[in-house]
Amino acid sequence: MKNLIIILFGKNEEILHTLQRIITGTNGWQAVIQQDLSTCKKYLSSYPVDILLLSSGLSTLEETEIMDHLSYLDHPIGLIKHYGGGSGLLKNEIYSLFPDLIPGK
Amino acid sequence: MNKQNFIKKGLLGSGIFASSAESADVMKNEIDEIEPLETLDANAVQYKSDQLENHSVLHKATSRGYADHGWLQSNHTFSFANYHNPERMHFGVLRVLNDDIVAKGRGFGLHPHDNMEIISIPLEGDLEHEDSMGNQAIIRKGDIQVMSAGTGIMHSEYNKNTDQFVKFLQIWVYPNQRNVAPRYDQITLDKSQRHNKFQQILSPDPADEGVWIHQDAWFHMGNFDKGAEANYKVRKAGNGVYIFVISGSVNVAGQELETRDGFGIWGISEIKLMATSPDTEILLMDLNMILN
Repeated sequence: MKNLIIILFGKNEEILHTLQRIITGTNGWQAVIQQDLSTCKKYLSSYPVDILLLSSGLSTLEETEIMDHLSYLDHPIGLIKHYGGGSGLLKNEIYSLFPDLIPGK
Repeated sequence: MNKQNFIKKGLLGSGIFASSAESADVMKNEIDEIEPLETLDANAVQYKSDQLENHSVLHKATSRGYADHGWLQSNHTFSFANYHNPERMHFGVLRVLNDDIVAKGRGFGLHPHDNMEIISIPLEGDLEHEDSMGNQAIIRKGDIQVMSAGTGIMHSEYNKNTDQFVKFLQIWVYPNQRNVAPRYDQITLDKSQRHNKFQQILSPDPADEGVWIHQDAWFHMGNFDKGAEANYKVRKAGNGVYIFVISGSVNVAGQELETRDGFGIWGISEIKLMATSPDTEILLMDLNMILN
């Protein structure tokens, strides 16, 4: 299984921790929680992140600014606007970005 | 519009895209010049060419993803949890259609949801709901429940009875705006209003019949005798229609459907149906085909 580093950017702590638990339950996948826009931007610029996941509770401005920030990075990062808040859709959202990770492929 | 640009717009509409410095100028323009997606294209990335040509998609009951957790058996029309099928990701704003059976006295413990309009329709038995907003309720056959999960909500759902299964449909619809204030509602529907006709059970308007959600979607249910016909007019130009046969069989615009089949069609302004067996029960969902 490919290693993945996923940044979970949002405000609802229960949901962020749920998403983190689901992600880290897959071998090789890591999830880092970020709740502050400025800190999240710095992290994205500094570390080899594979996916930025937008969780709930962000303002429209925060979502727009962080998506805009991705455009100026020198390495590609996948973006997921997450819907659902739990296990139902998360893995499918990741597999849609990285189809090679689908089990059995 | 060339295919590459179309795919970028389609995936952008679903909230998933890849960004890189090479495409930075283009992506910056995409963000600065937000335009609505073109109608009909939102589903194109997941459908085969013959489906696109016919503007329809058929989901046979037996083609659904199946999960058996012992206490829960679930048939997934669209990709969900460990079921992944890139050709079954959504139909317009309809993202989840789960056909669940929960064992006696068992259920889903406390778990979170956000940014989804979650609709539950019991088909048999009773479902007990509790949530972090303080709502505590039982929903039964004939009821409909909605949760706008928005910024986040925790809830549990249990089979109220210890002597029978509970069967229900759980339907998730993408909201038309993210991070709304969470809300809960449930109503009991008058089934007499849906004999050989469609009864509206959900809409975008709090003042309209049924429950309401944050999305341009209208749900209807109908119970039809064999041979009974119905015409349905799409409520908003550009919306598609997804039909789920709860029981019985029906001919929809020439397509024969059987129990638990699903059929989506778009590019139409109205649709004709005829029940082809007794006691046919249909859920009809009129859905925004654009993912905002």
